[in-house]
Amino acid sequence: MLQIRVNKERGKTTLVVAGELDYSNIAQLQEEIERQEAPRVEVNLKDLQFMDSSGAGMLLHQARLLRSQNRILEITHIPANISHDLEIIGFFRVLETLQGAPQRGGE
Amino acid sequence: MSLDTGDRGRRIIHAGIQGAGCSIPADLEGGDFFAFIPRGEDGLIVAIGDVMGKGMRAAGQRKDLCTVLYSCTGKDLSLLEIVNQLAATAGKRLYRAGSFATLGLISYERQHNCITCLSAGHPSPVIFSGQNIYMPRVRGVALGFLDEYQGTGPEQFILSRGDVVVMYTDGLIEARNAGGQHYGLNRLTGIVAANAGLDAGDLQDVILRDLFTFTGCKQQRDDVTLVILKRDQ
Repeated sequence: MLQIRVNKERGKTTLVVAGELDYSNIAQLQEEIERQEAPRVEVNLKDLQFMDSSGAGMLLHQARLLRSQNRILEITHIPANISHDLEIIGFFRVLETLQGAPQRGGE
Repeated sequence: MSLDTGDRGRRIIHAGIQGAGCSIPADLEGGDFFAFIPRGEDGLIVAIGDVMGKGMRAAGQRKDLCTVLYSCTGKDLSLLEIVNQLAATAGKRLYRAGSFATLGLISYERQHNCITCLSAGHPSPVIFSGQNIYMPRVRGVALGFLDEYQGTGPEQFILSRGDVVVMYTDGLIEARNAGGQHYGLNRLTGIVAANAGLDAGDLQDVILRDLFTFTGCKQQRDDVTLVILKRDQ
């Protein structure tokens, strides 16, 4: 079960995600991110209990897409157990690269 | 009596190493894989990996990755060169598909009894040497995330007779019981340490039985893959 609460402020939208994010429901969060038009979108994971590799891949894919639009996807308040798994796959290294490197075009 | 894992299991004895591997998909087909790839008479490469997602799409990407892996290991390349070639070819295709794959690689040379470990986003192997448990600190970005492989260099370890190496995918330690608890790395290392005297195949059977006991054979939502290597006594 995945729940997404949307908080809109000036220039920024925060999606507070609760429950479990996996292969069966990543489309729900992906569509919610794609629906946003703010230059800055925060995905707050403080109430997330589980995320599988599909969730991690989708978030990085969305981070890349927003970056290509000169927008920012922030992923915050990651619970320790999920952060540990993300660390292993190199998730944070990729986010650093996205923030530091010029956007990639065409791929 | 051996646990019947059908066509999902494979065993090998090569270069003084016993190998036992098994991959149980959560769906009809999965993204997990493992491979034992002999290199001459005295060498062995072992790979374990996990392609994002499940089902036919993940299975297709897994097959593509394995084809490139076998092609690379047929050349006389180091583990780092292999993972760089994988990143440049299969990794690029994963990137374009919005997917990624983790990969753990081990090579063993009988001449020096030395294993070399490298990881592209995959959990570290666990080495059981006598009473000691050792986890190489190999880290790297999964294939498909970046243009090229980035991570720590390979790490080496000398295997003594009877030492055991365990490789696994996250689906194993994240397998759940009816109460929602995870199988966990502690339970895995505990059962391996208590049964490290067994042959690789028997040890794998013991672990899988313990896993099925824990989960009550409840359908898992991620593929489960386990590989055991043991240096002959």
